[in-house]
Amino acid sequence: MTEPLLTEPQLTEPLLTEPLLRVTDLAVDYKRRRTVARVVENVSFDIVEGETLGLVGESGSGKSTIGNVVLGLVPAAAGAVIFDGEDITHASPKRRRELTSDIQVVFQDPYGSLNPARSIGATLAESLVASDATLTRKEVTARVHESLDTVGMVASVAQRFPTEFSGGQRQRIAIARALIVRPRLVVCDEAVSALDLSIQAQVLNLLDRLRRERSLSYLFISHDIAVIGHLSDHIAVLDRGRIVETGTTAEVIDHPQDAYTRLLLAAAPVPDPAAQKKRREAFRTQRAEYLASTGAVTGLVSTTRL
Amino acid sequence: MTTRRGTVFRTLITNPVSILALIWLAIVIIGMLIVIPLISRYSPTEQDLAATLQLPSAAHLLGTDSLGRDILARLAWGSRVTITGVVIVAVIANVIGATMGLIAGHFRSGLDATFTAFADMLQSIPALVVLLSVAAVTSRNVTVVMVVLGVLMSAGAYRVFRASTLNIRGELFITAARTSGLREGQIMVRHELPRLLGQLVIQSSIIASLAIVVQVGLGFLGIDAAPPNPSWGGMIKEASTSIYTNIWPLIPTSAVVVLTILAFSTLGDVAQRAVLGRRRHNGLSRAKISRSVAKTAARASGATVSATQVASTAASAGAAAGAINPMLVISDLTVSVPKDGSSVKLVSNVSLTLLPGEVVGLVGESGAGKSVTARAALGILPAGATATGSVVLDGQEVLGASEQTLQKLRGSKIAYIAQEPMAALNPAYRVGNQLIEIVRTHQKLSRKAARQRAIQLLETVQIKNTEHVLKAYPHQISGGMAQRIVIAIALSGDPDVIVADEPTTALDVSAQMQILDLLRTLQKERDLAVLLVTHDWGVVADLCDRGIAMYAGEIVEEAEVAPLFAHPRHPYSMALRASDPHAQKRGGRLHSIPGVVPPPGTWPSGCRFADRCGFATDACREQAVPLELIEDRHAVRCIRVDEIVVEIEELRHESVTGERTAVRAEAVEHDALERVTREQAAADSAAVESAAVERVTIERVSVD
Repeated sequence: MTEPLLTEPQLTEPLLTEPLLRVTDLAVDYKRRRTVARVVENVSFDIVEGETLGLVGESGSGKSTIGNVVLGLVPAAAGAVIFDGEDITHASPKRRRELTSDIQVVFQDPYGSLNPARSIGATLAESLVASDATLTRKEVTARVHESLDTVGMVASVAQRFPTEFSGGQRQRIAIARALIVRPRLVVCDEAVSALDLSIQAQVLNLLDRLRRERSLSYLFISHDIAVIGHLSDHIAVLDRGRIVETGTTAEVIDHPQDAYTRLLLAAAPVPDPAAQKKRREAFRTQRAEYLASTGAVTGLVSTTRL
Repeated sequence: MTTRRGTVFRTLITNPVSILALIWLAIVIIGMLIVIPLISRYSPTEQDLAATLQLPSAAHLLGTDSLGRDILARLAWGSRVTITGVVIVAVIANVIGATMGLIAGHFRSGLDATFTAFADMLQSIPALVVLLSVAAVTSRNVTVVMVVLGVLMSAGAYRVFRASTLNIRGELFITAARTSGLREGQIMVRHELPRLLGQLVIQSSIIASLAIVVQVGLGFLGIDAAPPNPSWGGMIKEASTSIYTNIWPLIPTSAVVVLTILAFSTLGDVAQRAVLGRRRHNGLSRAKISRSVAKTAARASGATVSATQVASTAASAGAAAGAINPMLVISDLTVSVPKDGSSVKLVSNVSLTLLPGEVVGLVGESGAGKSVTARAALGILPAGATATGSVVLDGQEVLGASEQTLQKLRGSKIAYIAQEPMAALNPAYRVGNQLIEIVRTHQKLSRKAARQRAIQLLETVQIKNTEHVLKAYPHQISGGMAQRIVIAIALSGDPDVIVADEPTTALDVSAQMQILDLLRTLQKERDLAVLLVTHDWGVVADLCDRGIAMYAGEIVEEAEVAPLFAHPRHPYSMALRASDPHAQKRGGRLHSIPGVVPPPGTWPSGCRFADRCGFATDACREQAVPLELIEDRHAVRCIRVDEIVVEIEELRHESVTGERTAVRAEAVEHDALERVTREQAAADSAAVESAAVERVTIERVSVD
């Protein structure tokens, strides 16, 4: 079991290398009746081909919203989303459909993201045929089996229905669906958060292997900075719709600069009673510090958020 | 109101009432519409004035009418008019209603507003007046009248289909289909339409029964088949003219009409119940758990600890010597559910003890039986399950206790905190009203006093702007806040024991930290005994005094937290802890446990963990492994428990002296666990084979 360690994150020069995905000054508004709330503001980041950016923050920080803008599910109020040199911020529905073969997604809820009335094979094939209608039936079947194989599942799975699988297995199927069109960027929106911790490790390993085999890029969204640390080359920390810290994984996790980042780091419990006791105390200190520095009221800081 | 395809149809052909309805409709459609006209000796218009108004006889099975015509023949021929009319109405109403409903529900926006306005308009038109006018204008053209009726009735169908589509379009798999590159039309046809089929059955039945009423009514007014051609409505009218001389002709005629209407509306009812029955009512049932009234006076003199409770005896040995009565004693608990004629165990021979003021963590992967065990403490079993063994709560037996006894215990003695806090709150009521209502079921208080108590409870769970929270609806609060409120509800009856089933799993790590803090504070202040179910060793490390690891329905290790974390002895405990991403170094492959927990019904007869264990030998698979004390208050279910210590030590030693000096010793320990890792694919295919069993169990377990 001495697999090579992950290569250290390479610091790419954004000016020299054209990033696969570039998000600049992104803002998103949510309209509710007559009021407009700005939920994301001034968010910029790059993802270079083959790299993973971890986007971390609490629920309500806007991290999933950013993922949805990249996927074209939510409109941007300002700023730009540039994929492979092309501005896709306001792409037409037709162009968006074409882009689905480049940009794919794995959602958090493995129970809701697969239509219970359709077989696994039908779900996977549908995704593939939508991207390339010229494929023959035989080719489609072959690709379905191949993509199931990639995620470590046998071909006979294609005839079965989602309810027959556990959460971890369904998440593998969701990954197979995302990868069957051979995308270049995959948005992983809390892709492991709903799974048992022991199964999270399995799925994270799978995502890591696929990334290395196919030089995929991930936009990896999670509330759990420890989980994000395992897969990301760079991390962006999001607090109330704004990025408060970015850097390489080592920089952000080992030498956090922002009080909010330190708070997030202290929040994940470790399976060691002594260490956990220290963390708990650190969390209290960090929380007081953060509160003093920003005076902000977030779910993390205040117990009274509505 | 979404349903899986097939559920509704399956219910219709298995429910005895709907079977009767289907049989009747088959008689009408096959018998009357097709067979009788082919074999009948009589033409429907053939008069026999020598045999008028006869009772049933061999010659005329249903007798004759005032002109001596055979009633059965007339009913059979007359069914043509009625059935054709019904089909026209149902098809038109459903096609228009479903198409427009699907489009409006899917796209919303302007189309939705326009269609809904159109539906409003249709529904405000006086139908009967329109139908009569149409009949007059078209000189009694029944087909045209029925088409118009179909259009008028499409408005009701439209509303139903629109509402269903609105529900379906919010589901994640619709978004997933969109990100797969499907066109909106494809999404509607492939993903949304199939889920409307159940609704289609319901609507068709309702519309059909209404259409018959209208159709027969029009026939009665003479607006359908021109005499002497038969129609059901026309026959009723003819029969009613001779009602004082001979009532007979009215009886078979109206019976057929009534039964047919009844058959259609019954089908609609059964289908409706099949669709609704699938919706779960977690919210209500969970809220009920903490709603019990009086404080129980039953403080029996402490339960005797059974000999089977090796582990718990160990853990509580000191306490028992000090004569502290345990709060909760589960002994030899086995829970089974019936499946395909046999019974499948979900949990087998679990024994555990919870002392007053003690926090015990029940840890394991999904499917280990943790929740089934924990809920048994409240007397809640999965639907249809049976349990053996005993669950004694503060001296009182819970298993088999009456619902009344359980109601008394729940809330005032034991309370439950569920994983999904939002499910425990009713979305339709303000938080304050729900809390006040629960307070008043525990204590006879005025509304004002109950409100004060509710505010107190919110302060107990460290909510500051209580007034604001009381006025909020559940959807307006965050998950962490909702969990605080659920905890407040749990505390409202001042219980001694709290069963917390994954209380922080649905929350962010940050909200989790705060809820854990809160639970710790409350536990200390009130000296609560807590049974905490979790898959997260970090949560156990944070909160618990003692940890119990469960695997495939049985306890595999039990110890106090310090030794459990410092020296876990069961390979599963080691593997589970090692695979926690929070504990692992960055870079390199994460340690994980290969494969999945074997689902209930497929547990091996030997060690249940053997197939995923890096230390397993043939001996492990031979026979069931007992749970044994290895030292004071530490029990393990592993026959190789001592050898494994040596093996790990050797591996560690090798690595220190060998080439792998750079690798940390713990990592080696984990490597050992993964040594015999089978190919993931193989593990998965094995899992798939047993997945069907798992599915049944998962559904059963989560239903209540």
